[in-house]
Amino acid sequence: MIALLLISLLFLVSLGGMILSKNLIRKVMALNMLNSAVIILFIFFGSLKGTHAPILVGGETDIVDPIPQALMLTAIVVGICVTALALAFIYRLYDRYGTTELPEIEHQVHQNDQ
Amino acid sequence: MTSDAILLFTVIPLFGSFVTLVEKAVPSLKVAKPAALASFFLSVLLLGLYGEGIYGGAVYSKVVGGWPRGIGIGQELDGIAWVALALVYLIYLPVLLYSFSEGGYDSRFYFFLLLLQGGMAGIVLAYDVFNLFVFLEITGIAAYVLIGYQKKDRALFAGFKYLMLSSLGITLFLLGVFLLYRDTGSLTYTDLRTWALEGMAPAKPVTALAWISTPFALATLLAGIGVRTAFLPYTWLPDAHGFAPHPISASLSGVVIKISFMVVWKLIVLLELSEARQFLLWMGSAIALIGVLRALTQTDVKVLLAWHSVSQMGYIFAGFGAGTEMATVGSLYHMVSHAFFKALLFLSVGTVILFTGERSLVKVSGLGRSFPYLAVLFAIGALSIMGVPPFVGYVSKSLIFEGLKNHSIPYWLLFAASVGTVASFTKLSLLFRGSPMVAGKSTEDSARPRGSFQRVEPTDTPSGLDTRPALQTRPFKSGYLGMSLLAVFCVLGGLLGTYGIQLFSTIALHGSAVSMGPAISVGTATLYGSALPNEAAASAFQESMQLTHGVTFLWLNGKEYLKTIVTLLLGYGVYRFIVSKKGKEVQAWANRLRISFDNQLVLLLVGLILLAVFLAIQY
Repeated sequence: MIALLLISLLFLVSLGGMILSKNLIRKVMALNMLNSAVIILFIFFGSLKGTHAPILVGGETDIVDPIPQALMLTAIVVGICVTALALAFIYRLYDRYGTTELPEIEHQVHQNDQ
Repeated sequence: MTSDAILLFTVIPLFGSFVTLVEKAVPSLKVAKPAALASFFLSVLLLGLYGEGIYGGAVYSKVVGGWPRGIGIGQELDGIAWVALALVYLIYLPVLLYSFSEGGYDSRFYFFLLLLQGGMAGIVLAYDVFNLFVFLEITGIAAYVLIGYQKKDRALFAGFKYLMLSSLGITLFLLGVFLLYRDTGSLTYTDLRTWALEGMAPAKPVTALAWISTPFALATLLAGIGVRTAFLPYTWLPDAHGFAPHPISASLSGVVIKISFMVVWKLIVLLELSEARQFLLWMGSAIALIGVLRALTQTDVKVLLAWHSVSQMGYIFAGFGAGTEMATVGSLYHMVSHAFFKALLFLSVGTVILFTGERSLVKVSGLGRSFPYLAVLFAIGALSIMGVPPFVGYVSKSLIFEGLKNHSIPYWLLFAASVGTVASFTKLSLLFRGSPMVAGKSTEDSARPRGSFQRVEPTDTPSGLDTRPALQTRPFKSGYLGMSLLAVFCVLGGLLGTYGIQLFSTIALHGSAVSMGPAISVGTATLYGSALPNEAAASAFQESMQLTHGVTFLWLNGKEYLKTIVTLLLGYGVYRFIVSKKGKEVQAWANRLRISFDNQLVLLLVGLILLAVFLAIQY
């Protein structure tokens, strides 16, 4: 139960960070944390039944559910790709607008409209 | 055909994308364009080979590595997937041809273009929600990079906003995947359907919380794809599609948003979420109107078109949401027809930007005399989107309106949107009519303004001769070929509309009937949902859409023509208003309304909660 509470806390904190922080890098970090919260939740759930790692070579029994682990390995890789790409975007944005603060960039973008 | 080969739909473009990397490493080897073309033709050939089997009602599925179904990575080709792939390839060739002509794209561009193609194939072929997640991300990553590819104007920021919003969406989707896995212990579509038919009970520890747990799980799943499909926050779309390179705008608006909608379609029908359809009906008709209203105030030509993508997607959602056979088929056909005419519009307007270097309606007009053929192509696209017979938009919009007859509020919202569409495209057609002007300067001798700028205008020509701003003309053969193909699709899709509807609905209907597995005898579920519970009703509907009926309904229907004429007249009235002084004030006021990026994230969460509430009502 305590684990679930901590995971929910992580989820909400990162959601808040993503919406409230004005710095793009912080937003991306919050996104990454949000992703981690879901991954931890998935893994935690998979570990509830069983105690051993699902390596079947030695004839292990009482293993945890292997599917969440396999799925989350993929999700982690995808998450890393997205984070890296987002940071690359921020680098380009910094090159162009000279800042990583969201309100400043939005201001500059809309000024070009007029 | 053997089922094993369906993996090739994703493998061919992915392999092709690696080939383009060879050009990146060894620039003297020009392999990127041939690789893109080759993987296109191979995929089309493959699709053709499966055509007959699919038409006969077969479903092909394949699990990699001999794992049991549900554990290994698997794919499944059914009727609706075939239709979706056909749509991808129909738009892909013109887009490729246009990119060859436009030039300035290196091997990286083709790498991501192929990745996009492979990702979309993966989305439609996925048979469990986790593979769906992976391919949604592949498609997404390719799309983000392609949007920001030229690093011009707002493209980078638009790409970034899209990335953040859809990553938040996809994280919610992953949460939904978790909740479903917890409740069902499996993620394949078949098992999810079985679970849905058994009452969607959540897993043990939360059984008491079923009223909130299940709707929330389904809502996160739909919201995650909803961002991509632009029915939750659609606010990212105009910038992303408007500032992407022209061929990318065409393929994003043409197919990428529709592919993800086909997934929404599949999930909603599989899980029998009739309340989610209600949600789409209201959401769709609302954003159809909002999209048009925003489009009317735009002066940037491509952003204007992108707002129309929001609006036209609204028609598609509303048609599907209404749930009647007519509207559902209309929605399916509108996905196809919108792909044709919106790709054509983006490419032709893109060509204008390419030739003049300007993207503002204030600065360019009257190009019709310089580019008559381009004007014709644009006109075909514009008449299609206005729903003027005999073009393709008329067919699909008539079906949607006919099917919406019993929902009066959405009907009139969509009617208002149609009027706005006419007004907006009358405004956009200023690009080709009116007095010739480029870069804010008239190109007509008599109308050339006398003033200071003419003297400061640097010119290479001897003084007193031609000081017109140069139109950048250049060989553009394959670009015109690509656009002509799309124009032909628009015309044929309209003239042969009855055949088109027959063909598409039959294929989607046939193939999908079996795909849910023998355990589930729901017949035509995938295409129509619960509206058509059995084969008998389906074939009755097929009969009612037989050629004679179809022809009478589409081409000998006085009421439809009258409605079109009324729409056109009202649209012209609205156009007169928006070019008047009062109208311009209203537009200036409307343009000050903006949704900041943070609020767009909040909007996504609000949409999620709204969707959960809608689903909770059903539950």
